[in-house]
Amino acid sequence: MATPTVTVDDPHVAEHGGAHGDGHHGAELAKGYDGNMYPSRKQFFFHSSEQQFEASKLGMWLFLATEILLFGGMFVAYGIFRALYPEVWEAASLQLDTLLGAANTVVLLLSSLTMVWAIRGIQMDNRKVLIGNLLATIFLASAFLVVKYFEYELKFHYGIFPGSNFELAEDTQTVSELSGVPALEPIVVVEGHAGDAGHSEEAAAGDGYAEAALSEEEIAKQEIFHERRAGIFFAIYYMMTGIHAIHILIGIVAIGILAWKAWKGAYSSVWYTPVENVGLYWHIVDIIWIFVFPLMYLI
Amino acid sequence: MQSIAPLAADSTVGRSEFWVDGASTWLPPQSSTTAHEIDALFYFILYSSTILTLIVLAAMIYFIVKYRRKSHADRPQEVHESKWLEISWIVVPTLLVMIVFFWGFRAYVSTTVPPANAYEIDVVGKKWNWTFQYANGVEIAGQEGLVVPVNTPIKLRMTSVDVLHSFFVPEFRIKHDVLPGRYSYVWFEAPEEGIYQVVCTEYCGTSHSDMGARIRVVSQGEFNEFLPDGYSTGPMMPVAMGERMHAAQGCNACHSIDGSPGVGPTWQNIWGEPRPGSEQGVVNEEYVYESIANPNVYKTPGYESGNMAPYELDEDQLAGIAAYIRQLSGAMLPSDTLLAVPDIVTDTTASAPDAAAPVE
Amino acid sequence: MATLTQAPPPQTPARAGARAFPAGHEPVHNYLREPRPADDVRGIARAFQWIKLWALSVDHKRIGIMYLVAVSVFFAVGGILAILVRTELFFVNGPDGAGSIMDADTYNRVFTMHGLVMVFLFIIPSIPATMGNFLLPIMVGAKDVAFPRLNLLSLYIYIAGACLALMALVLTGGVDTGWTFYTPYSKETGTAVIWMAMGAFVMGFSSILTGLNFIVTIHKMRAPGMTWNRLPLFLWSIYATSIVQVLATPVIGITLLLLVMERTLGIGIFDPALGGDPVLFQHFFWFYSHPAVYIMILPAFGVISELMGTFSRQKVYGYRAVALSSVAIALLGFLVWGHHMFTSGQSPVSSIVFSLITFLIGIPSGIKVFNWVWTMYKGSVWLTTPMLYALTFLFLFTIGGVTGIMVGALAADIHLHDTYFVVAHFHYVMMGGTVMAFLGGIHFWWPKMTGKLYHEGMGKLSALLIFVGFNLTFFIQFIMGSQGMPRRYYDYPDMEWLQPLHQVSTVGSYVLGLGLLVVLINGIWSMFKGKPAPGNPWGGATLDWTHTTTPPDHHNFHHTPLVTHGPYDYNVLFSGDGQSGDGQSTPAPVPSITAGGPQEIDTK
Repeated sequence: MATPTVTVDDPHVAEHGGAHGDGHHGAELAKGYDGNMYPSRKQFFFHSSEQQFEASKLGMWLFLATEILLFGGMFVAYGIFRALYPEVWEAASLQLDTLLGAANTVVLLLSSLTMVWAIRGIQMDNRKVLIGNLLATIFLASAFLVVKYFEYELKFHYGIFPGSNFELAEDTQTVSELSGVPALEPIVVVEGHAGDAGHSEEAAAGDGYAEAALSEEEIAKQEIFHERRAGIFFAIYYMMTGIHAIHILIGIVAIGILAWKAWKGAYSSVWYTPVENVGLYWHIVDIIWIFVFPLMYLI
Repeated sequence: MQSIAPLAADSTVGRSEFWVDGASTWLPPQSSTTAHEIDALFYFILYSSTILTLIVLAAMIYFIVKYRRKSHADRPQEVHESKWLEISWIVVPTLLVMIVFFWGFRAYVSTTVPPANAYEIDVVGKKWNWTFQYANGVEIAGQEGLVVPVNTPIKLRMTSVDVLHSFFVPEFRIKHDVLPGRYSYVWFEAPEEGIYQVVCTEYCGTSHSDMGARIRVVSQGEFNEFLPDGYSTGPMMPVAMGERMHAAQGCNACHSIDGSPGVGPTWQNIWGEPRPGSEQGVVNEEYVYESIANPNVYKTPGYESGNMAPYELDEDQLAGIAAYIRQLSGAMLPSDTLLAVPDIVTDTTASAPDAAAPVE
Repeated sequence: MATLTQAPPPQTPARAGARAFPAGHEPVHNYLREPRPADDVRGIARAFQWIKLWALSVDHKRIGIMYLVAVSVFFAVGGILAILVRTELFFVNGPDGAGSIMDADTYNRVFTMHGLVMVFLFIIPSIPATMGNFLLPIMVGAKDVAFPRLNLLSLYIYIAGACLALMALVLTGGVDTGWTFYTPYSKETGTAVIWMAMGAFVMGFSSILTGLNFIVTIHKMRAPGMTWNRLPLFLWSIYATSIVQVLATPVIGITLLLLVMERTLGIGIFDPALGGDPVLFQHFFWFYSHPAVYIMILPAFGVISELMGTFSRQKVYGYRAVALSSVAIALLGFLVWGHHMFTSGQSPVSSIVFSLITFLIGIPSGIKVFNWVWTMYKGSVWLTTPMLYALTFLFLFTIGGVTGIMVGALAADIHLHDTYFVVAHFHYVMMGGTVMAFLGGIHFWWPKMTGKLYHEGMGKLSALLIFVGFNLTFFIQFIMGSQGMPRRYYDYPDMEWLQPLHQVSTVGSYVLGLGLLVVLINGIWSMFKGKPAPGNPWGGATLDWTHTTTPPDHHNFHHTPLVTHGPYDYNVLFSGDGQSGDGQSTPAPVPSITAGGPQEIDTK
């Protein structure tokens, strides 16, 4: 990779105050999109504003990579248990409200649009567009959380808790039935061995899964919702959507700070790195939901 | 033919010193039919890597001596990188490790896949003892020694009732983790009679290092005589029975008999002691029975953080333990009736998984 | 005794015995003293100001030093715990606790805390956060890392994580799960697993932020002329490390979070009683923790490259191969985690694949060792303390590597897994590798960091004691392991015949501890009695030695350096005025070069 073209700085300009601490940033001005002069906010250890902007953006992308890996762990857990207990997964996912999920998807997609619009606004030095769109994004994000709250609320009402606390009765209607909407798929009632798929494969490999915890007859007797395994589905559901919701919350706070600072006039087309970076963050939060929604609600 | 007595818990088995017949500096004696395959691979890697290390060491010492800086004015000579040198030290190690890989892979397959006619025995790992169960329901405590016939492939079907354990017999070169909710397998065929030590190699808590068992390889005749009843040793005094249970059921891992505190309370001098809050309120027979069947309903003050797994013992065994505790406390026995069925054979024909099922 | 010899060229204007800095380039802005409290602040207020100026400094050098202090403290803590473990194993326990210094539960906590402290609090931040922080910006020719405030934040996140871990210590005397936190034991145990797991989770963020900072700095902040082919090998290895830190750490984050949820809410993912899978936890754990092994060893590779080059005064042989093998190791390192689980119940097919990739990853490590050894060929080998540590590294790491082949071979691992053989193997790699490189690096850059020389005689003594002590402690554990001694054993009543070997190992650990104590004493001695260091005491050719003062100035460089030579072009140090010949570049204010060569210290 090529080193950015930079000039070797003139000691008499860049180092005028170098001997006494960090007191020399932000003094430089640059011409913005609208022709006015704005502070470049270049920090002393960068050669140029471009270098600084690129560095920030690369840093943000790396951070987003860690976010993807964080959720990646849960996606892997989802995949593994889905492969182990496919029918539990199908039946359990019927308890998720597809309509609310879809509504939330639309809300998040819209918020990504407003976020991009906000960035476009500041690139054109239009602070009204910036602040308006940031506030719209916050509104949409809050709407997402409100919907999420009602979803959780309903689940707790029916005793759908994660893991060992799962206590939904087997004849409870699915969410789709409750709201009068035909279910996307029929309820699957399991009669066989829940771990069969995994069993034959693993046994062939010489190392069998054994249901030491539950004998064959017990399994045959039990409906899915009496099994603790459905609890694992909801454990993953709550972990994924919960951590996602925490990300939304962090996003709301970050966008709020952006709006506040934008109100104070901190950003310009010369320097809007935080807006750009929070925008990137917001898109990744959006994209993660795009994966969570079909995996959890639809299939 | 002489009958086989259970091994005492504190007896030393197998090896007593470092240098024994068949042991080398590096490896214990080969006591299974597959051990030599693993050992051959081990020695191949050992010798080739020793040679490699010595070459590196020799080169280092030679260069240090030869090119040692004599004064600060010393200047190095120009060195041009040699493609052939670099390629050679890429290709040679690659070939070596590929040999090792294929060797390791083939030895793995041939030592871990049990023969179809292997004799199956169930193994249950529990904090902190092993229990073996034959197909006819005979159960054997790990410390007393699993009895297997010589020159017969034995396949162990293992599961755990609590945490992870690992079943390792150094002299057989077999090891596999034992997991709750799953079966795992090891197999071996011992060509010689003897007693071999089993150790747990997956960390499992307080008494991890005491979680041993023994495997006794006996002649086919001895085994045939042993199999129907297990360690049946005739009628027994209750105290002797209790003493045997203390070792065989692994009680000794947590409960001392000399007053020293362990994971659980000692058994010495507790008979008749008040236990406020418990159903009985005092240590008596019923208290002991209850503590064995439902150990976590009432916990002795000072031991609240410990969890003991419930044990299912028959009446005689329970009576034996109560008598033993009573004797350790210096109290007299109510009677000295012989107990009729004084071994740990249980008549359950259920398979291991049920016995091993964790209580939900 | 170390004395300074002035390099002899006649054109040198400096007086004998003085440091030769060109006029106007004396290290007046020494980062240790600048920024400093205003002159009129006195007494307690001044001390308070000093603390504030250090604790809140965003200067990468001060942050590096603060990390150095922190990891040294934790290294000492982990070391004391290790000595306790070895002492307990000196005798087979008799009745009534004879021959024992603690009970089994305490022992389990002690070895667990030894592992956790050493892994999470010492080795992972050891080289990257101390030497990496201090040197990386200087070596690329930048005035700071890309995100200085994030850098300081990562230090405080690390300390916050350490405090959470400390809470586990306060609440239940530590945790007793083994550093691997294997479920379901970690779910059941009564110790403060939640605090410990949260501590490791939080420290993960520190690791991520440091890695992220370094990647961006190397990508975006290299000085003009600092091409990838001129990047010092230390930076190549830090770069590879950072990739692993950024990509692997989030996975341990979510794993530990799931473990915490398992304990608090009983989510069942890892609990077989609820249909979960304990082996899945091991997969998740090792998906991070095997790459984490490379987080620990890769920076050591970098340090060794610098040491071998400088002290042989020879280009590191096969620069490109060494640089790229670091990256290859980092990437392949993500695909070998299953070799920790050959006996744990993963399918045999995956075991075979993992074994194959494990051998592939051994090759680049081997290439490195051969290249390092060959670097001395036709060089000018100078046996100072750092070089002794580097040579110790080469020997010990080779043993660690070949025993890795042993435990990577499927059939052999069946016998060796979870025995002392594995313990000895990873101590040869982690302690014989990383810690030797850490000590070598600290000695090497000590003059740069503090401006003082350490005591060479004490340095050599410590290297000797550590070499002897280390091999006594751990070589014998190979034999114990292959004889069948399981790891994490409080006592070995069934293997009493191993007692003499255990005793040798324990005695060795005392010698090792003594050697490390000598290192500490040497450091303290140097602070008070050490001679001032010349600008380039070892004759290094990387920017830290050629383009900055010793100790470096607050902003590292007066001018952004223009890099005209490679990191191991030692001949430029002897080319007279140090000008590269193109005439148009700003001549770097390089004291050592204008002084006509490295001002090497006389160690005789």
